[in-house]
Amino acid sequence: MYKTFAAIATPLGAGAISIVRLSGPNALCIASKVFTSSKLNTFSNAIPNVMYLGTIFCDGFNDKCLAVYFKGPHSFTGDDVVEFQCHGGVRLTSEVLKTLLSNGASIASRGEFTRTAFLNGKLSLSEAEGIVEMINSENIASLNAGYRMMSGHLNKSITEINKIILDITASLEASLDYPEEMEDEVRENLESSLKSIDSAVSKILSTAQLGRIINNGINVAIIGEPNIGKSSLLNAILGKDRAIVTDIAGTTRDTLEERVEYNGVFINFIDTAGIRSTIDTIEKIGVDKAFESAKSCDIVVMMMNASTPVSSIEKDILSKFDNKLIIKLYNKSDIAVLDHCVDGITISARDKTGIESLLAKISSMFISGDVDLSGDILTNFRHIDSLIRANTSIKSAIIGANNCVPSECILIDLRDCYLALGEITGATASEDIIDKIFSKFCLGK
Amino acid sequence: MKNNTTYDAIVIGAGHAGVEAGLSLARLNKSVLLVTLSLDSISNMACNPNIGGTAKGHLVREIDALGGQMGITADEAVLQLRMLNLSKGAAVHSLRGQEDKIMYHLNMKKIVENEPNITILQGEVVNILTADDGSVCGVTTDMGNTYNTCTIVLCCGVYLNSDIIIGEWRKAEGPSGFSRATSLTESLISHGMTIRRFKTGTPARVDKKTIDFSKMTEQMGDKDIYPFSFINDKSKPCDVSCYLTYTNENTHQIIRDNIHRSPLYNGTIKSIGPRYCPSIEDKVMRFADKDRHQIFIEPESMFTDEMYVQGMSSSLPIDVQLEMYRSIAGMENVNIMRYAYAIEYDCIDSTELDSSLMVKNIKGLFTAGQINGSSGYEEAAAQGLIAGINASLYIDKKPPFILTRDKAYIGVLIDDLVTKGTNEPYRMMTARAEFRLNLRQENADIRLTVDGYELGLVSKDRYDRYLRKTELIELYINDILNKHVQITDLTDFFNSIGESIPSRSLSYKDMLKRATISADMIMSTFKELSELDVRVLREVETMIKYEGYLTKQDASIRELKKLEDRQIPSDTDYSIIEGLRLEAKQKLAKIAPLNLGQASRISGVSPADITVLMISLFKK
Repeated sequence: MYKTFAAIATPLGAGAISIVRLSGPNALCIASKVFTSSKLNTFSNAIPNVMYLGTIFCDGFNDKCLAVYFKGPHSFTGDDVVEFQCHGGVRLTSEVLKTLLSNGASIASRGEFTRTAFLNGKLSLSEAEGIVEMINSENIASLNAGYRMMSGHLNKSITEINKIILDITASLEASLDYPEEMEDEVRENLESSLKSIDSAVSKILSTAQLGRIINNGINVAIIGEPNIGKSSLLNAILGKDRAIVTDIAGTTRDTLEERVEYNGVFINFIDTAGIRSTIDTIEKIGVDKAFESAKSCDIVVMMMNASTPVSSIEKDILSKFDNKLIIKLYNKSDIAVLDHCVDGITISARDKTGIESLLAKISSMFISGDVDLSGDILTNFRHIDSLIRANTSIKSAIIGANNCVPSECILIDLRDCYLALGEITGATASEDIIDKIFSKFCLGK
Repeated sequence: MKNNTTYDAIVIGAGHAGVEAGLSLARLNKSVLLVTLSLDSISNMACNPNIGGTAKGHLVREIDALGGQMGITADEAVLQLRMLNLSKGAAVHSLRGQEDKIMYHLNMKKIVENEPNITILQGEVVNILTADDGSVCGVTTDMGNTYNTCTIVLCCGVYLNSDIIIGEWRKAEGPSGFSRATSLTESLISHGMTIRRFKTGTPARVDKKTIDFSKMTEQMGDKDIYPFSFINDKSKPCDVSCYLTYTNENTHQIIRDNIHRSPLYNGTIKSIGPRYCPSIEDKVMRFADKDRHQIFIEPESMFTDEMYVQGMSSSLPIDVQLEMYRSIAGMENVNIMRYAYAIEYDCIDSTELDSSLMVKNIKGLFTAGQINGSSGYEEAAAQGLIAGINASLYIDKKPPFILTRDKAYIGVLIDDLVTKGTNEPYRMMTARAEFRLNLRQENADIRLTVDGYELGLVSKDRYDRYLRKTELIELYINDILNKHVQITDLTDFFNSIGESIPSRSLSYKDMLKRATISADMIMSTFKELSELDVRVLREVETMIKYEGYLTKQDASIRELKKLEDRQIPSDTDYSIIEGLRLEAKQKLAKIAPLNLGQASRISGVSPADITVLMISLFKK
């Protein structure tokens, strides 16, 4: 098909690596916008089937990852394909996907890779027939009560937005088709009406974060100087020895990810290597990674010693996370608690005290009270994709309105916006618009 | 006297659809019998005395580019030309001509008479005959004659079992006092076709001498605009005026006081009327907050004093009509020559047609115009032309000529009718054309002349004009407009239009990208452009100004194409396709779409159904 689409190809969750796959005519072009490798001045020069180590630029952070380009038709789908092998973890992978979407890819619908592969003659019918089942199972999935409740609310808000779009569209269309009967005032308030649509779409889109948390959990990085007790904390939270704990500073060299459930919300803790300047190469990679993980997390828990003053290294680390949600966590309260600890939470990882208040603090930072499912919560990447496209179109319409672009052009953006939102609610453009024109205006001879 | 004669094709009805169908068949060297209830109703404009307008003007240009007749005759009979939507973008500029009805009728009659392959016959076809295999084999007339043919184009307009309704009065007759056709409906039913009942209406015709034009606003035409036909570089002189007046509270009160006498409101008329063509009583009742409605007084012909009162269509009783017409400024003493009426008529369900306008279950029977549930002269003519072309191709056993939605308004019109169907008389609107930016009236020749030429309807002269135009466009875009203008010349120009002077030199193309700079402006300013063809340059300007949006639209077109390129075999049995929902199976079986693109536009067929269909159809 002519669309370029993307999806996470590996199971969502913590794993050593995740693969994000991009397929379609613009795959290479989109990939070169977000990925660079020192071996190439641009990824669009990539040699097919060669693995490149490089950096992927996501919103707010970068990650080292591997990318490989499969040139169509010699690829899984038969179209051009780029695969990114990035560090595992829900948050990271989702961000990579989101970056691809905001650079022009569409989210792959269920079975889309397979369907494309089939249409390009890469799969036999028996392999492709699985798609029919997938479509059916998706319909069954959508009958799930919780999903229905959430999408019901979402539908309602989107229907409201589309009603406004329809109103504006009908006015503009009526003035094009009935120039003699319509006064030309329809463009007077156009810009402000379009802006109200834009803010409504943006508002729903901003809940994509909360939706992701409900599905995938809150990502929390635990950072701090070596041997401060980060791994002990993880073990204390989990109630089992997941992380290796020793007295030797720098024991944790890779990041570990573990999930706990608290008040119905998943919290994904990422234990990181202690941060210090080190000459050990492997440990140094671990330290770099600690920073990266922390930057891509929802919350950073900065672990310090309750019994000693804040060190200059710690101050330095803290300053690096100015823009993040940060919790100061003072460990070793069993030894002593100094006065400065009032700006954070004090715990004892060894005695397992204060853990509850840490969990409560984390969840309260995202959800006030119990998890509220009554609002519009975007959990579905397909919905996010539709809203991103709606958002792009409405912004383009606003620019058009600002620059005296003729109505028939603005209507292209408005129609795109309406259709993108319609993918969520099932609305279609053509007849809706014409029905609206005649119910709203007195037209005709 | 029995008279057995054989023709390649028989066209039933000689209105706007029938004439185009007959002419295209004849011009494609088919012998045609053109049967009409009255020779005096050939190309009769039974309602408004104009041709064109928004979207309809586009249709006329497309008919013309394909080698149809409407544009040429409309240019001959024109009384006034206006270009609507000039304040908006070029894609929605729409030409409308006030037409001399009588001249239009007479000129068209002459053209049909002079067409050697057409035999004209006044009479009523009462029966369509089919052979054992269900395909068409002839017709019989009310006088008992039988004519043999393998191809019929049915263009009987609103004449099937039509009733004229004015208040409590109802008469079994066709429009403008012509007689109706009473037997053909039964013949169609006997062949298994579904018959529906639609309604439309027309306002009164009043005597010009009894109107006080001083109380109205004169509406003059536009000067120096290009006429309908691409073969005419200039319009003939036409400067007849129309007049604008308004209804008032008094008019509305008269209507409200008598609404119980309106057949629309007391239940006498049950058929479906068009929303876009509401009667005055409809407007007043449905839009009660509007304190006045526009009324245009338009000339019907230079051979008569009858004036058309646009905006005052009605089926109220004649005493109410007279009172409400006389309540309008300038019409206090008006004399009504023909009363406004509503008309009910039989039509078919257009989803029983395939994309070539042939009835799916009756081989050789094509239908066009209002019988298909459409409305409007231009919509009728467009269908007539395409039905005529496809009837000819059918006779020659060649594949049909089908215009896609991205190529022409005609394509949108026919696809809407045969794929979606219509629940009210269908009117073309630019809003229906999703690829509107490409479908401009000024590039209809670029889009369609080659098709018309290959079909054999377009003359060498017309084709050469097309070639010249495309060469010029190429030359302007790739050469002349790329020239850069010296900053000193630019300074003068930008000073003269009061805009800030650009910091670097600009090409003409760069200038035309700006909303405030037009082709005419640069042509009159810069000497080296002064000899260019202004019409072509304006078209190029449109292409430049729309460029970004055209790119967006092209992306949608490519996606559509991908689906349209996937043909669906005509013998597909949808009932055995696993995974299709029942509703989708039924709809698909009824419409029998040609390709996945058409299938995806059927209401009740979901994207998931399309995926299932795609997989089951395109197995290796």
